[in-house]
Amino acid sequence: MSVPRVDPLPTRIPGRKPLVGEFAFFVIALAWPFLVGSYGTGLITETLIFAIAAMSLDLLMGYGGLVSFGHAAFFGVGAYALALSGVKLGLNPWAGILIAVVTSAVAALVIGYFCVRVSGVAFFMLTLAFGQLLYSGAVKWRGITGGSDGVGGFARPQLAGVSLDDPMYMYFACLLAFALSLWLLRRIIGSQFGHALVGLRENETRMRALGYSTDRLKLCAFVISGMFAGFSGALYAIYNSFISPDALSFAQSGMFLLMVVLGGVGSLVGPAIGAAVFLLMKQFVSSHTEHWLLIVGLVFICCVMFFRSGIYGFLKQWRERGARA
Amino acid sequence: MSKTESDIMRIVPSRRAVLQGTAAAAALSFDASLARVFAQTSGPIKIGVLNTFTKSVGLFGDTTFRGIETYLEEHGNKIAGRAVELIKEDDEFNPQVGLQKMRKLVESDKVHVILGPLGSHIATAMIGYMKQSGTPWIVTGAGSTALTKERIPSMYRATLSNWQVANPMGTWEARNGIKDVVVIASDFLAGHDVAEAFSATFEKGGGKIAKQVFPPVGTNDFSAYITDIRSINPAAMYGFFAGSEAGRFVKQFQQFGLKGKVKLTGFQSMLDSDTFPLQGASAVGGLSSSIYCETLDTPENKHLIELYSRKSKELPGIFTESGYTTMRIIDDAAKLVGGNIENAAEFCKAIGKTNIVAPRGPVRFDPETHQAIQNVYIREVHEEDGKFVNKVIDVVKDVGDYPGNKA
Amino acid sequence: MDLVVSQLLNGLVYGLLLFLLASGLSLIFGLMGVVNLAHGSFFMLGAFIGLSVVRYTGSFWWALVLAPIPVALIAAAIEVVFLRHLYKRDRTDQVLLTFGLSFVFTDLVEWGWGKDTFSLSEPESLENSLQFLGGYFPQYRLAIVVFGLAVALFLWLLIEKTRVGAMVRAGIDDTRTAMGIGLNVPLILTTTFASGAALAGLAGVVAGPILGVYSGVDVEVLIPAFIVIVIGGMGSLKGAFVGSLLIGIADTFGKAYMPEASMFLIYAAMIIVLLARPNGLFGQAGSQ
Repeated sequence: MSVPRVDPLPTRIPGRKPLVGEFAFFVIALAWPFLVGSYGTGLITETLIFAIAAMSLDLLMGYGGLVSFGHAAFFGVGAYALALSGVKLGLNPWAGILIAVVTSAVAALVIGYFCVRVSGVAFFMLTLAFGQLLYSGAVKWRGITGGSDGVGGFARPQLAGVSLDDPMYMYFACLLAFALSLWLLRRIIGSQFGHALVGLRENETRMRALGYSTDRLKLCAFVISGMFAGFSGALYAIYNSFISPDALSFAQSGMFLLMVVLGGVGSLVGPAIGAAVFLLMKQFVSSHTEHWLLIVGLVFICCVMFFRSGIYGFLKQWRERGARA
Repeated sequence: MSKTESDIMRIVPSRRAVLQGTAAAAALSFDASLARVFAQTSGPIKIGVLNTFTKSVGLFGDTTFRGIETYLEEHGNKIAGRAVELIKEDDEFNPQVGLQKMRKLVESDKVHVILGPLGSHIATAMIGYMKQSGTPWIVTGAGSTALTKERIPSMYRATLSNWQVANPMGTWEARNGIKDVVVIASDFLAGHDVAEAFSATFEKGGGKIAKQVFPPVGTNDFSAYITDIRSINPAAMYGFFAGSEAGRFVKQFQQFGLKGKVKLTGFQSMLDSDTFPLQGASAVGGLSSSIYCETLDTPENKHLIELYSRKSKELPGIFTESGYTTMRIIDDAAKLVGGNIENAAEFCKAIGKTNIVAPRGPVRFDPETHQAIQNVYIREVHEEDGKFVNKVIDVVKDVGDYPGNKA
Repeated sequence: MDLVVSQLLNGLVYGLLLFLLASGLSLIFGLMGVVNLAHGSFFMLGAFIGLSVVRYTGSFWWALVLAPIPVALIAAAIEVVFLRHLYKRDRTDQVLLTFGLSFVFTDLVEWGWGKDTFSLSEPESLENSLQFLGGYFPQYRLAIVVFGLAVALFLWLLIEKTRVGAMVRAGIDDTRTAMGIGLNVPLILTTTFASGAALAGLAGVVAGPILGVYSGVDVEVLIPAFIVIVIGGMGSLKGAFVGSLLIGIADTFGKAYMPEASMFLIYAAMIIVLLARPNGLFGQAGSQ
């Protein structure tokens, strides 16, 4: 996929104070629950959870050049793994999260194994097909997954002695999870693997000529991406104390895709911003007008046509213009 | 203070507004339960209506809401002397969305009582949160039998329990010469619940269940299933569908020539005043059991029909009556606590004391499980003056909750 | 009526509805290489516009004739304004564009008509059921079978036997050469996209009485349509026809007799075809 020239490794740019933006973000992030009520806190918690999933898709899409229409499969697998391990096996949610990550890694391994063998149109048809396959499994397998009713009735766990039932503590836990994911993903992208992946995206033939096993690289990207998506799914299940097949649907995959493109493909932070923009717009715009989906759709189209670097790229250009002026 | 609070929550936050307004509200909003006890009792009563207003069952949410409005219009939009503010939220028949909207109603809108939902699977998803929150919750549509087993102190079900309505039908059909039945129900919680309840009593009465089929929720084209039923050729079929699915199924049932060959029987939502516009003549002769019948010849029902005729040219259906009667229950209970519904515990206790004659007949609550105890009517669809109506052909009085729910 | 025959008929009805939709999708992919994720939206638009035409004129037949026209015009506009600029770019961008459009259309439809599930009634002349081979079968569904087969025949004749068809085939087989010999490829592209959309819109009206008219119907039909063209072969009309019937019949029998597994098996089949025979049953090797 032709990815815009947004600096994939957000590092220092001459003339720009490196950490002001991030610092401001973290101050607001820490102060947020004290500024808004439990409902607003819940909203941002949900945003952070989806941001992790969006970033995981960006690894695949932005850095690996693999556009997947079935990413919700890993998100959903993680969520169900957590829910079922709690409800059916009686395990505590921490074990559940571990199981979720492992299960989604396995799913990504299997699905990725097949998907990396094809390319182009066949690739996204295949990701779509696998996503739908898992979705139909979740809907029909009533005995295990509860069918379209979903699985509920598991409580939020305790963390360091405090119950995550309190929206404030849940928020901070998710903030931590988000920061950890962002840091880990940045490290991965900055690593040798990450560079090889970007090389693959730029020119697969050349990479192969250089002796890289491109299939193995792609598969790795799938698995890592799947693990983070599964992690996000597990958090989502914990947050809602409920999960239903919708989490695996084509609509959900589409939502993640939307967040990535909106925020800026290949920028890692961009998709997190995309997730925030999407979810918050849904909340706030929908009290004013019913047509938030129209607006989001139009912005998305603009991004595809003109702002290839998404909202994040747009903001960066704006700030750079400001710094230069 | 509560009035400004509600204004603030309704403004679309620009960044400025969020920081200004919510900072002011932050002090109060943080501990919701405290606010509930200390807030004064002269602001409007906020009622959150969580129902399905879109998708195939949207018409049931609409009629429930109209029933609610009918009552409010009759009483000058006042409950126990206080103005009423209705906050309507659509759960899209999806538990995930329903949970989000529920949170919004309780935490952001700070409603005094939640009415709804329609879908049993949504109600089940709400249990954990509502138990914790303690917000008064009156169920107006969801019938999952197991809901009242949960013993949530702040929850009352002012409508049917699936077992309550499906059970007597099983007995009735077995007793009235129907030997075998194909059960077909929508593949979600309520569908399975109803199928089980009916099948259990039908078999106990000596009948045979030839087959159980569960089409996915959202099915529009039932041709494959109807053709299958035709090949089995049972004496009757018992169906659970809701909204436009019910409309389509009954219509297609006739189109494939099954009407008259296989008796059409079903749950109340299959053959109701709300679905007749979609079904027309194909519904005639259909049997269903329900807690309400629009042709009941009682002064209470006549009164409702007269009021509702100002809003709609259709007769009230089960959901309209549900909305109307639920508001009456709230009104009576609010009057009992002198309008102070902020005191959730007392308000809920007052609801428990309900003992009224509603358009559907007598209604009171089971003291243990909070399930409404009411009559169940066996109804048959007739054509009368060009309109289609249900007529009562049998009554089972005073049906309570599923015995397995009680201690 | 024999059970198998009746269910086959049911499967045929659904299959032909799918064909009306999938044929356009296949054509658009075959000629333009565009995976049109907005195809379901064209279907939905056709159904809603048809609904309005029926409301105003009281006639289903007018809806059938008129509804595809605005859909085709909208599609043509989209091709010229948006899609055209993306041909030089990655295939993915085109997919993403059509994907974004599907959101826009969903909202517009809800804006214009509301979020309810609407009913489009069959024409009065086809309201009854026919006594047929010893059983009852609704007239309207029989009409769909006849209509679907007629459209299939028409399309086949058009593509295989006419000059226009030859141009389209040339465009599918080798675009550059086609341009080289003077075919007005941009015009052909716009027309193809618009025609595919018109077919989808037509399918929307025809399917209205069976599937209902509501804002989620686009996704409901889009995915089966994709399964059809993957299995049948993307870019092949014959493939779309065979694939549609296969899926239609499999879905019908599956629903009634293997409800747990049928959805799963169909997706598994799609995956197997993608892996083993990416060009489907009838797709040309190397077709983009």
